[in-house]
Amino acid sequence: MNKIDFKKYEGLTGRDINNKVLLDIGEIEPKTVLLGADSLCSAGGQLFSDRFPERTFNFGIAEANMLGAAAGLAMLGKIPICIVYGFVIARALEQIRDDLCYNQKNTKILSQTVTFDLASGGVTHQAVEDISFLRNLPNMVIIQPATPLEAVAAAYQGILEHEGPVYLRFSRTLKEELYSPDDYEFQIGKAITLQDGQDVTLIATGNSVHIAKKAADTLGSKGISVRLINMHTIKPIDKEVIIKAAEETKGIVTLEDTNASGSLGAAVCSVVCQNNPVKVKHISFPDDRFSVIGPSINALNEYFGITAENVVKKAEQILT
Amino acid sequence: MAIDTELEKKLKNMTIESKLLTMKMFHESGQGGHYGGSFSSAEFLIVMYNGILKVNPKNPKWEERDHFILSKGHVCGLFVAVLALRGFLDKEVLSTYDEINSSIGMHTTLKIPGCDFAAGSLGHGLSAGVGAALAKKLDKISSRVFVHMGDGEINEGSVWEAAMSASKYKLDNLIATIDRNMMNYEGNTESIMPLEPLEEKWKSFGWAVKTVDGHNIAELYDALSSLPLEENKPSCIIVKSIKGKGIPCMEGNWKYHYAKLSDEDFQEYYKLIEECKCN
Repeated sequence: MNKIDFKKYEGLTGRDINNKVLLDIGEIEPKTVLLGADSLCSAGGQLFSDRFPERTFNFGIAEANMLGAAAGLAMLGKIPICIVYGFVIARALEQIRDDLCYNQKNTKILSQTVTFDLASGGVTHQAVEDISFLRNLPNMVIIQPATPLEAVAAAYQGILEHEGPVYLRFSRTLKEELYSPDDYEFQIGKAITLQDGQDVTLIATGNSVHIAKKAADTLGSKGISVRLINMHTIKPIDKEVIIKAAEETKGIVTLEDTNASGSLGAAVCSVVCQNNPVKVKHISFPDDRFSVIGPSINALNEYFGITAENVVKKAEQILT
Repeated sequence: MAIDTELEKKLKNMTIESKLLTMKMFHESGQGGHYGGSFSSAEFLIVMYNGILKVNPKNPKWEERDHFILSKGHVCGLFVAVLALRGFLDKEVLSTYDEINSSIGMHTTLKIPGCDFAAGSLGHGLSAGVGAALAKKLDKISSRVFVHMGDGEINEGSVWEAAMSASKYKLDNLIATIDRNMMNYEGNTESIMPLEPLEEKWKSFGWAVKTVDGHNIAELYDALSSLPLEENKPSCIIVKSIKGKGIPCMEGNWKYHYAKLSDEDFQEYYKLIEECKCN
């Protein structure tokens, strides 16, 4: 893996992370090209496009064509990074399935508007099913970092190291850090155990990791030993860490702001059921319903019950 | 550029041979196949692979090659027959058509030597062609990208998204060819979703356009060897053709878009095509 100087990214949040990391990746790897569908600035493509205008392509509001063109660019050895809004994954799903995954093209999709990032945008602009859509596709890798440094590592490894389609699902609100730049290690498909414990396991992904951490603190203060896992890669899922948690603790609570039926919750259940069945409970965006308009991510998380309090309740239910 | 008479005769016979191989493939598999669209594109594919495309059958991944994307992936049978005649694969491979995990079947796969893009679902090829042409421009590679589409296929909106982007980026190294056989799967293109005036549509999207007779080898060769049609513009060649060309009951008959023939019909039609060979 490219040695990343994490220190130079320290303190960056949200879109600034992408701006800096895309620019640096563009400098390191001249085969990278940046593709937008009137979306280049939405996920921090500005610095790259200013520095490398000849390697930046804006396809207008036409995501299907952008992703198909990405396959063509990859056919000639380029590494296209396609910036999308999370909700358009559905529109261009067939291009992603056929042109990127089936055709085995080394292409990257970067979204920085995921789940409730566009809270007031309502159903059409919130992406709660995108992971479900992509999790079924062979060759696809799905990474959802929990912190700014993790986003940097995911971008480097997903774009420069992994050969094949990668969905980089970065919330634009990434801010809170859990890691130190001095000793952070990231590997696609290898979950990070943030805290060891023997009673119950919390497995979370993306922004939800911070909610899980709060829940772990509350449970800890009640004398419950909690294992806390950051599942930054949804696909391929880290089976080993899940099986170990199922064997060594009494049950698992999964936490995510996407729909559990197709995302983290389902992935964890599948591994647990087939290996070492224990109780698994989900806190997630509810299945089989659409979202609502809201003023903020926090308000929508509260509305849908994606809270530390509910994680604590589910964990206690497992232990009683 | 005018075609040499000997080459023209050779390509005529190769067209017949490709059709015969395709028919055998379809019939012997027991599955049938896409006769209609295969026979409308036969002369075109033969001319492309034996007179136009810079390709190397011994090294299908040759870096300086022209890229050919068969966007109407359902004519895979004809495509592999043409590739076999050009030396990309052994003719024996054709007998594996539709076998379990075969490289060849109803639609193209990446397992076919010389196939850079696996297609099937329609409306994908032109976007990939745009990307490949952009990459060639970026790296100052002089080879070209051809994308062959069906006319029904261009009902897809993604084709027109791609058309817009090709002219935006002045991709004169990109050539879209449209098999204009006037037939969708379920009937005439003009009754299902009218495409005319087709030349004007492509022109208005910023493309240089030319219409040719898709069953006239000399005309195809002439048009396809004089590209781009205009500098700084992508080229669109509308290849006028007859669906099911060569077998009277299939000609212009959408019911033979896909067909499974009885043994008797197969024998009769095979002979009809075979008799078209010239000495």
